Amino acid sequence: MNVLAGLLKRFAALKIATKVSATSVCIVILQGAISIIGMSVVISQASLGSLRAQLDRTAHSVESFIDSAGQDLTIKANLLAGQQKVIDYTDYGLQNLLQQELSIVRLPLKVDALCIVDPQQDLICAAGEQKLIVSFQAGSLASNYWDGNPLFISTVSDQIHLWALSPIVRAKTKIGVLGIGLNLDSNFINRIESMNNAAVLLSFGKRTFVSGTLPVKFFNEFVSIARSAIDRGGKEQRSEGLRYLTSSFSLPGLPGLYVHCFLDTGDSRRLLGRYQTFSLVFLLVVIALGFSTSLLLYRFTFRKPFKLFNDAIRNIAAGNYGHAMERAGTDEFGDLARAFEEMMKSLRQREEELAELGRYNTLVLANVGSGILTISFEGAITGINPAASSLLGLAASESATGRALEELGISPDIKALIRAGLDGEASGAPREVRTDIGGTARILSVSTSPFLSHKGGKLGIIVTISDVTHERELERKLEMSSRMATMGEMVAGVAHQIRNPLAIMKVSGELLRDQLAKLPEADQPRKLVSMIVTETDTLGAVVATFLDFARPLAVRKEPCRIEDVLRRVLGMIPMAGFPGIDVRYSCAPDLEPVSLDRGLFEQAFTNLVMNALEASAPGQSVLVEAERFDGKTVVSIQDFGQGMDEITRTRIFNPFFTTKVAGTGLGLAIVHRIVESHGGRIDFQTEPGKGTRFRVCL
Amino acid sequence: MLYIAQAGYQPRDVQVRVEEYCRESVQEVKLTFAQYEDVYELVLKSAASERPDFDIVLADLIWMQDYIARGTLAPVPNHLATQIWQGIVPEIYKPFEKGGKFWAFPFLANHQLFYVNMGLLKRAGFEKPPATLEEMVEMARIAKKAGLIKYPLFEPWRRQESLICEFTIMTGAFGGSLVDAVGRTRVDSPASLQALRFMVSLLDEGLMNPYSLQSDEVFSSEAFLKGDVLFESNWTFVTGRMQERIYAGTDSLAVALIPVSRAVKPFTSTSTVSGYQGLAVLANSRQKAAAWSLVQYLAAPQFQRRHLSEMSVWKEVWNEKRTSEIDPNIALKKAQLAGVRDRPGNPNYRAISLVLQEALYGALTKRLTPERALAEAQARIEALK
Repeated sequence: MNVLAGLLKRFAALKIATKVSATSVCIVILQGAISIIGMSVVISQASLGSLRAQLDRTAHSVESFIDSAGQDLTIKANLLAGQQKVIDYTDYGLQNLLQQELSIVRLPLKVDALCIVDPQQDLICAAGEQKLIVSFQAGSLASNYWDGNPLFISTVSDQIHLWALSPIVRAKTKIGVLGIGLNLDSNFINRIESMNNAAVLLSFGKRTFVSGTLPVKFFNEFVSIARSAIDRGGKEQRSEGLRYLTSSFSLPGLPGLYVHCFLDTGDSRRLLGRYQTFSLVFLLVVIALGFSTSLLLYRFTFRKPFKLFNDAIRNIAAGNYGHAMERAGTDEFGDLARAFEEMMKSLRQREEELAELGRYNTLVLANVGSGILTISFEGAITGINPAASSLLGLAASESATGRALEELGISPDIKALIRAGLDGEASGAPREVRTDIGGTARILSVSTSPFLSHKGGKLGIIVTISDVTHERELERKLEMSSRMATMGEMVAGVAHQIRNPLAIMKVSGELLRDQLAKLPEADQPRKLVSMIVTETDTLGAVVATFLDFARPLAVRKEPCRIEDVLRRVLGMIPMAGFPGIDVRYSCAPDLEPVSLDRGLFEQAFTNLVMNALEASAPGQSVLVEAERFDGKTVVSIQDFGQGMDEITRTRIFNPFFTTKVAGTGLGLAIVHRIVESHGGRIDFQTEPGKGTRFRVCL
Repeated sequence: MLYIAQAGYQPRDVQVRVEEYCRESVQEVKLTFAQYEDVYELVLKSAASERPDFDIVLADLIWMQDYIARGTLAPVPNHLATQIWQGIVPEIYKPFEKGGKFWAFPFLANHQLFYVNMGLLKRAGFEKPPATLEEMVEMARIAKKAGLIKYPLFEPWRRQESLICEFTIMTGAFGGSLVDAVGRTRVDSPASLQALRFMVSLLDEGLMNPYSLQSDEVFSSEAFLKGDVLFESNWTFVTGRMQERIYAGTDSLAVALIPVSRAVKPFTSTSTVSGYQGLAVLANSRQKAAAWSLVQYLAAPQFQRRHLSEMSVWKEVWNEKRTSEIDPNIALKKAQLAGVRDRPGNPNYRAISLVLQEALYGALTKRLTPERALAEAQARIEALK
């Protein structure tokens, strides 16, 4: 049972095709075995019946043959005994001629012996086999002929003879008796056997046995069977010993003669064996053909479609919904293939829709300004859009998807926020993080929220990153503009309140100075008064400057060539005041005229160049360049001085902020005001110890 | 050329000889073989034709007088006649001679001899063949009585020419002849009557096999050669058959002179009948010279020396050593010539023969007495013209 269970288990583990093939082969073998065994039994029984019938026919045939042989001998004996020569030679004692005559006719008559005796039963002459002649002389003739037996059997040693007798008569007087003898030898039996396809054994009583084709080595066994039959009184009986069917019987007209027929069943058995061999070979051929056909059918009707389906499914699994199956036939696989193709078509459509949706989402994600990335609870990046990559400072070629959060070289503050989000500690409110991206300080707004599936399962978190640097800058600028506006109004108010007293103070001082000039001993007071007047003028200039700054700009634009503006500015610069400093100027030849207020920009550029010169040390250069960049005219002024520290950098455009001893702190504020009043933009790059570069974009 | 198929020299031997002649002479010869009974008629038919079917014919001596009388034959040329006179004994050539001319060239020397089964005779107690008819009868009686043989004697007494031959021998054995002193046919002489009575007595006593009345010379010889006969007379060809030794027991067969009656023994020691045959050329032949040339070629001693089982017609051949070696009976055959008797030489011989056959057969079958049979026969013969 265990073995069977094991086999069944192993069978169950086989592939379907192998199961089908193995089952088919087993069925064919089983059917073939049943067929062979069944047919063998049927054939064997039929053959046995046929052989028995044949044995009956053989027995009748043998009986008829021997009977015919006896009749034939009788006829020949009568004919020969009636021949005139035989009568004359017998009657006239021409024994030698008679013997010659008998010898001549013996062969044509196909008999084995011819004998003639006179009425005294003395042998006159004989021709043929000596043993027959001896048996004829042994008194058989007398004891049979004169007893009225024209046909009888005699035997000598191992021979059985059939004799036919006929009287030789002249003038109604018997002058002799002619006997024709036939040796019932193997030749005689062979004739019987050749007509009956059976082996025949003749016996005379239990003493003499003569056979035809019976094998010598089995002869004694056949004789034993024959004797047994004789013991039964010659009644017909059968034996199926050896490999022969046997039948024994006696002939009524020939007392003592028994016929034993042996029908060789070998041919039948050989035929059966051949049938079995042929059937077996045929079965094997059928199995081979069936197996081959099964393989071919399996290959073309199952394996190939199966492979096609397998490939198709693998393609689907691999996401290749565009894979097209080969055209299938009209069988079940064909139906399945068509259904599959329909499914593929639907899937392709869905895939295309999903792809379109994906592309749409990808585009959305790619085009959205905010960075979005998804992170699994295990800390692996499951998705990231280009904005996020950019905001996180990841290289364009660097794919973050699939990588661990900790592997990414991003700001620790951002990592901390994301981890807090993963840990569920984040409130979801955006948090701003200052970071450096590509050397530029940026302000990022980072928020985390749970990443839920459509069933509500938590897949991770979604991190949203926004660059709020510009907003914060705008807010700052707005704040500064607001502050400057307020400051301007205040300065204007103050200056306006100061300017009148200063005018009174100046006039008074001038009057006083003039009075004192008239006094001889009043030089010192006059000098002091003069200094008051001078400082009053200075103060008045400052107030004027304050008023100019506070006063709204009146911009009168006109097409101007930047090159002309810059040359005029550089021409008015008192370079004598900056010994050892070199101003280098370059201008792109293809610059187009720009609509601007020439005077204001001469003031702005002058302020910038002067600042650069003042920041430069002897031996250094100041670069003034005009060029076309990104559709705009860009003018840059660069020095190689000390640069600016952080505080200076953040306040550089604030009014009244100056690093100079005598400065008003309004120069760059005015430049900034002039540029923005033209819709342009001014920025700078500075590095402590290396210099500063201002750029004006128009 | 017309040749008798049953003649002593076998047709095949003759054919070979003729072919040899054709090659040597560059001539063409058509050789025809016919049965003895048909030859006489064929010869007469050819002789009567303007364009003869044959140029040469083999002629039995009994037909010679008939042929000569009819003018059928051409005489033998002189140069051949000289050869006959010089080389052949008169007993052989006389039947072919008439009017001082030869009408055929002797070809076959054939007469009857006495054949004895010495095996049976010795078992009967006799060491020698009988010298007289009386001894012969006695020996036969003893052999029959001893159960050695049912019928000791056998003769071709069938109703045909062989019966005339037997009667001629018997007549001679009793001192007579069928031809009288002047050449006339005489069948009722005392010797003939004795002879016929003797023949009938042999049948009556059971010494002569009754089957003789149905037998010819060939069957008679077969019976003898097979050992079923103690005594018989037959032609010389039997000696050739004896030498062939075809049958068992042939060694015990012997040849002797035909015995004669004790009464005539002082005058003649034996009796026999001639059966010679000669080659003749038809008178109407258109190429006689060529025909005689072939006759000479065929009858030459060179041919007959090849076939010494037959008795040659040439004296020179008889005396040759090789002849006696091949045919140990040649001396006896020569001796038998002394008792030669001819059948009647008469142009009407065929009719005479038929009359005499009827008479003799009537006596042998008991339909007639010997006396009446011969008397009636003589009367009928004399009536023939």
